[in-house]
Amino acid sequence: MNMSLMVLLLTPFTGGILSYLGGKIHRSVRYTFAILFSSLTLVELFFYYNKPVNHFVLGKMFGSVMILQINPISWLFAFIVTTISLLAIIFSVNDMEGRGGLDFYYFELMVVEGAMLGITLAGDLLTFFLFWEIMSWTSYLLIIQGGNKSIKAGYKYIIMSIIGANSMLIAIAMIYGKIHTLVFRNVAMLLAASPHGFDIAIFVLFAIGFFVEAAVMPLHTWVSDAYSEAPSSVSSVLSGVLEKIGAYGLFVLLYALFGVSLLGKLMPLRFPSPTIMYTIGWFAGISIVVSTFLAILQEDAKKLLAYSSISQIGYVVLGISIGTSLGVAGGLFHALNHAIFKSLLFFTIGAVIYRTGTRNLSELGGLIKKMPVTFTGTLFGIIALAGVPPLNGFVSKWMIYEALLQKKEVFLLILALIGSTGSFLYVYRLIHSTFLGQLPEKFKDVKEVPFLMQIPIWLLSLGTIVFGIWPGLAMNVIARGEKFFGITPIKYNLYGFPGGNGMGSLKMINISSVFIAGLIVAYIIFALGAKTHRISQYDNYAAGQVVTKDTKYNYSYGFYMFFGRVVNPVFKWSADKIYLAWARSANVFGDYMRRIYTGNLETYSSYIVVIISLVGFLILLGGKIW
Amino acid sequence: MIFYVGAFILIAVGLYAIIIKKNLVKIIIGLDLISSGTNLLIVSIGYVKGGTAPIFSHPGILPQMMVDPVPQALTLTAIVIGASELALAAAFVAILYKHYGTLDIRKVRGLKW
Amino acid sequence: MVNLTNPILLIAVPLFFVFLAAVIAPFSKRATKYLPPVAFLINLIITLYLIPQVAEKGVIVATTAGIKPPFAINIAVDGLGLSLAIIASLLGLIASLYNLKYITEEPQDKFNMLFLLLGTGITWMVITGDMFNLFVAFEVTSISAFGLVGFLRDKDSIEAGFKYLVMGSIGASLLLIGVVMLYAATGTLNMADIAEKIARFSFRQKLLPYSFIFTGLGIEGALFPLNAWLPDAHPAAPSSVSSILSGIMTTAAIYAIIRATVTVFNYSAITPFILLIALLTLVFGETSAFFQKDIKRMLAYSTIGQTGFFFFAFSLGSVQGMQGAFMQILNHSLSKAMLFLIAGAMITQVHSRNIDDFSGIGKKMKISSVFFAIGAFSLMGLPPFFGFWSKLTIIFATLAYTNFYTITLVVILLFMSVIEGAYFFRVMQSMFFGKLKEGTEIKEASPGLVVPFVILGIVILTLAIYPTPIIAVSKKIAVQLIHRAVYINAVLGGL
Repeated sequence: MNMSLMVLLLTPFTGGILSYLGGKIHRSVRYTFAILFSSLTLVELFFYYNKPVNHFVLGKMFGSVMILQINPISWLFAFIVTTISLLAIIFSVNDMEGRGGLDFYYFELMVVEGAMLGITLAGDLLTFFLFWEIMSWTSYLLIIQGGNKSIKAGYKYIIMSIIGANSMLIAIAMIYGKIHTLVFRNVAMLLAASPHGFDIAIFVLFAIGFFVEAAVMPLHTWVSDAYSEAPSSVSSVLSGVLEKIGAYGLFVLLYALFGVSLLGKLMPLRFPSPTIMYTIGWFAGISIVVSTFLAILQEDAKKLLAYSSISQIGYVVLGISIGTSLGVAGGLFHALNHAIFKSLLFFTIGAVIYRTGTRNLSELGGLIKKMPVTFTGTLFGIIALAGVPPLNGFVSKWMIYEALLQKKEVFLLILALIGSTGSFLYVYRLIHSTFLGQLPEKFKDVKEVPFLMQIPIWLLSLGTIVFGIWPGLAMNVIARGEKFFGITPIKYNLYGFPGGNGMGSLKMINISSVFIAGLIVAYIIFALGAKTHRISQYDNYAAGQVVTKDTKYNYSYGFYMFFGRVVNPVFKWSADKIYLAWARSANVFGDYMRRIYTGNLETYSSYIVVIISLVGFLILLGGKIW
Repeated sequence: MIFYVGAFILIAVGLYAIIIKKNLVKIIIGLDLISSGTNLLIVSIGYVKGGTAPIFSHPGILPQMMVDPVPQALTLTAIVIGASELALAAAFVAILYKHYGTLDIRKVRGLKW
Repeated sequence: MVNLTNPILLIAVPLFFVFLAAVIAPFSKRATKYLPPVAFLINLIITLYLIPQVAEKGVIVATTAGIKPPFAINIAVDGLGLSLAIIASLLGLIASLYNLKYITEEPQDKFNMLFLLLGTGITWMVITGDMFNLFVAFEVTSISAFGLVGFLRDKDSIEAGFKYLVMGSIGASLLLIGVVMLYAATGTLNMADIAEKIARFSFRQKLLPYSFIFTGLGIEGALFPLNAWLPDAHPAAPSSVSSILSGIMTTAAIYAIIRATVTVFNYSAITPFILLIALLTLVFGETSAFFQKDIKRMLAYSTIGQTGFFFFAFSLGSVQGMQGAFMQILNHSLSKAMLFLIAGAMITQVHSRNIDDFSGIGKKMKISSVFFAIGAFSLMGLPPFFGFWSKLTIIFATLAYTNFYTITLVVILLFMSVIEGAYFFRVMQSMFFGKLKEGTEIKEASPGLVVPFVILGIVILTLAIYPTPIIAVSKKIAVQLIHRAVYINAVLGGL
């Protein structure tokens, strides 16, 4: 029997247990085990690069087989999971140093990795749901490692996550009630044969669960707190991977369970794509715009990144929901790219927090000289995020725009473009307030982060370049995945897309060469131009005033205040407030409800009489209950 | 028939005492009334008018004149159980009185919700 | 040669130890505390011995006085009864081990006797095959429980004990009335015999005795709105007793209701009514638990909620529903008993039952807190713990047919599970990540308290790793329960 997929799945779990136990001996043992086993998972995963496994029986439960499988799309997501988790583990070696309960932290990190791997490998809904639940509560335990405030954030996360999971559970139980098996293929057959009302109910229930995890509006409210309060390496796992798992779920739902043709049949076609997918596209579009605006207004670096994550996952979902081959490819590619650059940004901001102890943008500044590696990483990250060539974010965004254009979805395209423009504003803010401008006195002695923390930054920066210049690397996997799910892949080559069929062509190598040439020219001009000399930052003046140590010559608080004045009145209404209001009224209602337990013996005894007389009443009615 | 009615009246009175009366001792009396009513009910089920003890070895007794012995056995058990319950209740009331200095149940409301 | 496989020993052995305790007590009060563990251990061994027999024959019947059923009192053990007896013996053993260190108040001999009686009564309730015997077992259980609840003799426990006593006595009387009505109607007290003879009565005629039995048992079984004594009584008792009360005693009463409903009355028509009650129990229990500040009170309300949950599963009436109910009973008994024991151990350190005072003790009482988390996770139904599978089974059973009605039910169930998650996570995060109060000296509870619940925790973890055999067994049990003819024939087969 071929045990290989099982081995792959069990590797991170084993690693977690071993590193927990190893930590009791010495901390170096813990790190060794954690890094070793997560690298091992990655290596094992590469054995499956070109080798899909369709059916690996894990066991049998409730008469439904639990199977593992791997197809190119799951491979892609498993790759994201393992890579980012490995880097997060490496990063947190130094980052988490000195905190208590580290053995448990690494154990959790590896269990989360294993659970997410399990989700990507699941071949039936039961396995999927099992690992999904494990992922929810273990990631909750990770979030609350970040100190006092994170507990509140984690609480919100776990409640929303349970609600999402339960909503999925209803759908799963509905399916199970019909066919008593939960294998994806059989479920797809059931859905194809079921009445439309049933299908739509299933779809909505699943979508709620995935929206919570993928942080699509309006179920995103846990994100901004959880991402910003969790430890930095956890934030990068949350934003880089956990969100992608939500997107993966959505992909499975749309293409493995339902399929575009079925979705088209469910509701009469009035829009360019099936109505359900079109609606999801609009959710994504609104996510993109609203959270971009929110990100622009943040003062907190990690909150900014959190909102930016919501907006970027909007692109992924938007791409997937377009339904054309190009759109799906763009969405999936963007999932990979976002994992790379957003984790990179969380790592660099984590590095800044590690050295300075603050994530308040208005307190930071001028760190470029002190932390050059971190600065370079951030620069790559923001260029990729803003979708500027030649880095990877550009390619996937280009694909999504192109797909929208092909479908002539003008409004969604406008939303996506607004989001993209808005992202320029906030990423500029991010790098400007952190690394440029005046260096505050208290950060005079800040040093570059230790080498171990630089590794993830270097590697991910490299990733943004590699996938930017050679998008074909990722497209290899994605195209095979699309073929696997019955979508004809678009034409591509290593450097981009040859075009045709109403699609523009894209040659990243040309664009990159132009950029590199441009950079060289600029450097030459800079080198040959006017002589510069270095001066102290206080040897300067601003608005006719001499700059002193206690004033800032660049303003960094309320950076986009003018913009805030425009949008703030709209944002008084937030989904979060609505949920809180619901929770509060439920609270009040429950408080009244429990007063039935009055504490008085006579009331209690009278309940008995009430019950008995109810029965007597029933008998008078003739014993008919319904 | 009169026994059944009587038994249920006893039970009803007992329940009334427990629900309406505020004195702990009266509540105990209510409990006692309920169990007495129950016992009366049990005995009356096996009762045959003018019947005698079911002794098969005694030749003069017709089977239809025999009183059913099982309910009586049940009653004995129930009485024993009821007695121990009441004793425990009385003990509780005694300690409650020590704690609160009153037998009014309205004062004994430490636990609620 | 003693026949180890006679189920009557399950009652006889602990009763013997009770009397032994009464004999020993005048000489050494301390010595009596070693009797309960021995008695429960013997019981556990006997129940384990019975497993192969029950697996083979389905139902084993033991007679008294050498007379075959339906005459005389008889004991009939089927899969469900035996499993509950195993749980009862296991929990009894664990809790009595815990008592060795935990109970320091006098009079210890009385406590141990009552504790033994409580265990006896519960075991008795789940294995008896006779309605009146059920009543007697019920009374043995309740009276010892009344005594144990009031054992500490402070203000709260006496008040709770008195409330419990009044409610419990009314319940017992109602049960007795119901049983006697059955006797008047069928002329027998044997469950199987009643079951056979009651078939000729109409739904309406059956309703009267059923309602009395249901109400009587429902008071002990914590069904809404008859459960109002429970949140007072369970926390007021010493923690080891609370763990038995919450863990198995309410469950035993629910077992009796299930036995009466399915086997004796064959009452499928009543299930909508039961379902409604179960749902209300669930909703009120979980909602009230959410607002509690007292940890033991919270756990007690959670017991109400859980009771509603598995009773709901039972009231679905399908095989899968019963299976889910049994699995949830198992899960609830083990987890809740462990949670109460842990709460007791923590209270000995914190000297308070207020949840706010528990903040930060996760750093000091590591083992206790970790096992608390395990128990809570299992109770909430998070994978990989056993509760996940039972929750899944119940949800699947509910949605066996998809329509508006079942979906509403499932939404309510899952909403309650969210609330349950909310309060358990709140407690746990304050335990693990809250700030430790300054000036308090908290350390891990003594090994005498820790070891018992760790054993229970290991059982739960084992279930988490190997759920499949138990799921298979629970299915068998459910099938056996639904096919009531098996039980009836097994008992009356001797005729």
